[in-house]
Amino acid sequence: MHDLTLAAARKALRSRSLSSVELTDHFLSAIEKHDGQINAYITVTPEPARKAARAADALLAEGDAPALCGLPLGVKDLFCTSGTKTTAASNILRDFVPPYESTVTSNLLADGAIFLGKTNLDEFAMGSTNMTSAFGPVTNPWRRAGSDAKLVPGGSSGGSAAAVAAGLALGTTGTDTGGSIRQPAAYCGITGVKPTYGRCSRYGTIAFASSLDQAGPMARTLEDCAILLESMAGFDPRDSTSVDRPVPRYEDALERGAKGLRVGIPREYRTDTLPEEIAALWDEGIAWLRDAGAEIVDVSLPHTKYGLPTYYIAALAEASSNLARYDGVRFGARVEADTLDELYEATRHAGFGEEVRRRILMGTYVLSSGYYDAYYLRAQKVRTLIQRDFLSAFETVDVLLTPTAPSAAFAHEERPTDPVQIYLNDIFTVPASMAGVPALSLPAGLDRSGLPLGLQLIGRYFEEETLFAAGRVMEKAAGFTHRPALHAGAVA
Amino acid sequence: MREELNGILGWVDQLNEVDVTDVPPMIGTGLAMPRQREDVVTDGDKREAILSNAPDRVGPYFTVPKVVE
Amino acid sequence: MSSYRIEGNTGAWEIVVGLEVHAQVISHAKLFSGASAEYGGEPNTHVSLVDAGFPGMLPVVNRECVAQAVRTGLGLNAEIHLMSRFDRKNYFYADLPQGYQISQFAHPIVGEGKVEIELADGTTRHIGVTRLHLEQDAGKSMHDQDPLRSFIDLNRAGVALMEIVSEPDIRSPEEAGAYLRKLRQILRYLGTCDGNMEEGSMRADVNVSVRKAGEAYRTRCEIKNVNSIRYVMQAIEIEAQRQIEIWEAGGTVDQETRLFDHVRGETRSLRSKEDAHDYRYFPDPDLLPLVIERDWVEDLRAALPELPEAKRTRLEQTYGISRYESGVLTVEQGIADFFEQVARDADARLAVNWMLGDFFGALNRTGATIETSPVSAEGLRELLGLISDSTINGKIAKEVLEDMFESGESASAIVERKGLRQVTDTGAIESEIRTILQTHADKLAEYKSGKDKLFGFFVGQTMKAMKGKANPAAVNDLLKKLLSE
Repeated sequence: MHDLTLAAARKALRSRSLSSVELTDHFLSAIEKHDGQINAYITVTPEPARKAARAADALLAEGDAPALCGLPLGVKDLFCTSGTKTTAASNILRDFVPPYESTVTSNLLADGAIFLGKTNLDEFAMGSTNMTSAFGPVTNPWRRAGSDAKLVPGGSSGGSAAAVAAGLALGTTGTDTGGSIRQPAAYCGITGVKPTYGRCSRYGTIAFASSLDQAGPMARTLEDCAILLESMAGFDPRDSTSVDRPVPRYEDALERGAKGLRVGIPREYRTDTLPEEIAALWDEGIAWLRDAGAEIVDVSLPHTKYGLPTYYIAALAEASSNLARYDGVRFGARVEADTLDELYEATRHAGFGEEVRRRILMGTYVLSSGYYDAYYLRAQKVRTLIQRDFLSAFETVDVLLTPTAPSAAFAHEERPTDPVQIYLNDIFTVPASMAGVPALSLPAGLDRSGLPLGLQLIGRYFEEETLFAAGRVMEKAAGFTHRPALHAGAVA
Repeated sequence: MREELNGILGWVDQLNEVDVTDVPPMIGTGLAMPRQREDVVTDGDKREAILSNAPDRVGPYFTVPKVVE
Repeated sequence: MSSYRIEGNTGAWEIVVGLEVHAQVISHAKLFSGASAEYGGEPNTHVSLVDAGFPGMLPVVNRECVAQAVRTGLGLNAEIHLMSRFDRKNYFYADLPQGYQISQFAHPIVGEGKVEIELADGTTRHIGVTRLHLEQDAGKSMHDQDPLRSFIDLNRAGVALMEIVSEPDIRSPEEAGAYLRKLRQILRYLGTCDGNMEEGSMRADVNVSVRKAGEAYRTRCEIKNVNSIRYVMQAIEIEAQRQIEIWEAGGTVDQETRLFDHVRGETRSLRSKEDAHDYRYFPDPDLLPLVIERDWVEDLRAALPELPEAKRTRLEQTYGISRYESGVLTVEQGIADFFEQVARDADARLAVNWMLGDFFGALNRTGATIETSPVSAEGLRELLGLISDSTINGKIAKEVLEDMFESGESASAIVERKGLRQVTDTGAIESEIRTILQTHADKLAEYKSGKDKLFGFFVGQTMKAMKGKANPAAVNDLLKKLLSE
């Protein structure tokens, strides 16, 4: 049962060869047994999950079940869930119980999904290692061959990625601001999709950087992601940046093939420091698509190298403002003090971790008077140039193929101390976020030490279907069936 | 932390190389259509929900340390 | 140009004033949420999760608030910007839930306009409007309920405000008062703000500096949140005096924010420029640029009500009334409407005289407003009709009007009830006159010997005998005839 994909589980539920209660119990006990070693979940909600599973079974018995009826999922603890603690992995929201449901999770619930609990992440989604969580780091279920070193799952959706990889959920929700779905998906050997900005509503999702944040699915396969995205996506009048377009049946695009597809290979992504085995895997991916009838085109995205600094200025500026609301007055933790200013200072110092405080400081600095033009405004202009790079590339190609990350997962203690070095993990994922175009990561192979590596496909605005079609060709060619060391099945 | 911040600032200074003459700042993807809500009261009257997470409250109010004006 | 000057020890000083008026927009819901914008309400009930700044909550702009800003811009003869933008103004305060105020800093919805003001001496001036932008109001802190804590009520948080910024064109307290009254009048005509300064739905920040004639501007101070027109005028005078004293003593005025204390009649420092917030404005990434259609603006323009100036001119032309009278009648739209109902197809001169005289007098005496007046326009119109058709005379009409205010009855009902119908029966008047002439034979003799002014005495006696109900013209005619017999 642990090795079921979401699609297979859905089939089994529909044919009544499996009940949602059985499936849900299986995952709850797997979490209980194995999550101690992984820490993928911040909160597990067994009782509501079992209750929902019983209701789902009743619906399934009637034969009129909605799309995701009875399928157990994990929810990144950045999506507000009504009546269930939502922490953003921060001490400042340690006991926060939202009286409202995010649009994305509402959509999933309306389609009958079962929530097992809330998955771990970098505090306020700020990080690419999942080591900044106030609820402890997440451990990647994968191990290097012959090593017990604990590896990072990537971030910020590290708990969501690890939960899927370890068989602790059929699928999970993630959010991606600069690579927070794709990079952990690559590190954990799973599939993750960051849709076009505006495809999934941001209503009820705790904001990191509003102009970049985008929710998306994380699961074992592209088919699973297609099923989840169809439910998560959609227009929401409560989000002014939501785009009013019909949601296609992504599943129907999966088997379209890659014949005639023009695949761009951006030359700027082939950096001097790119490890040989990642470059080789990238070439392999190119070959898979070429063999399927795609035309491979060399393209240039000249402003690629400016993506990361631009991203950090824009994201941190927005974050510094978005996180101003955590002041200990209306919700969240509070440190009592004699004056209002002291209350703010003490509350925010105690409530936010070091990385969050560092980013708020940076963001405050780049917006401050006298620096706004030099930093924030300039970054938004460079962002326009990055967007133009993509738009002009997409005049000649249909998708872009790149590696997802410049390395495989690294060990907790190998985490660089220089923040800039950590930020470099996002170098391949950030540009698509800056432009708002959709992108996905799929597991394509293992490195020398047996760790998964991902490849990234980037598409035109709202052409997620093309990504699913091209990705499916690669998924079949890669035949990635490897499982991590810590896996609900293997560890049992 | 000051040193790290200076490091980050030094790193982002590379943006100065980019010629941004006549380039407008990016504001959104340009895909969402401007939208406005109707002037109808659809929300409110949920004081308990609003106050349910308050770290300190007195009756119907949030509180802060006394502000002297 | 105003000749207002303050005499100092070193000569005459001119004052330079600019006003930033915060006007609460009339709308059902708040600027970015569906919570009620209505004033009052139990604490924290007119609050949505958006207004309280809960995690993940997002703003969506209210179309009517945008329309109100456009209407106001049109009413101020200002340019309407089809594309504007909302920025975040970042600062921490107890009643600012998001930690920032959504406002329009770099790109306001309304650009330059102007307001014509009229001064007591009848002269007019134009005061430039720099801009008008939309922004959120903050919540309310209460400091007097608890010894250690301030209480926070977010009912006002997120209500739409228009900030209307004037050019530093104002040169006297009188001009400031005239500008505020005119602005309030326009807002009320447009129905975009109720202009109620007591409830705080209109507040002013006052920028004051002084200079010698012909000089460039000197340093200004901003007096925050003054909540009545009278206080604005007082504050300007007091602040100007303070600055003049500093300059004349050889000091320099510091740019700072000050508070006006009307009880102590002084302004005092709130914070200096060095302590000023760095608001770190940047475009709100939760909102798209605010784009409006030219056609929509034109539709709003076409549907604008008649504004005070146009109405004045029209009333003058239609009813032949004076500039002064049109001014009084258009102070409020309700008064002008009332007047036009009274004067329609009637004696306009009679209507003006009665409205400005006895009717306003009665309103004042009873503490009523034009909206709450116990006497309707139709009622007053009926009363004036009774004068015009000689059913009653003017003197009796005054009595009837007073009765109308008290009893709420119609003019004709009161005339009937009290038997006040005017006597035009010449026979009855003549017999009364003959009796009077007999009773006052001595006065009659004096009159005949040339004491003409006794004519008035006989009119008075006749009217008294007729209990005031005699037709004055008939009394005159008959007296003349009988006295010359």
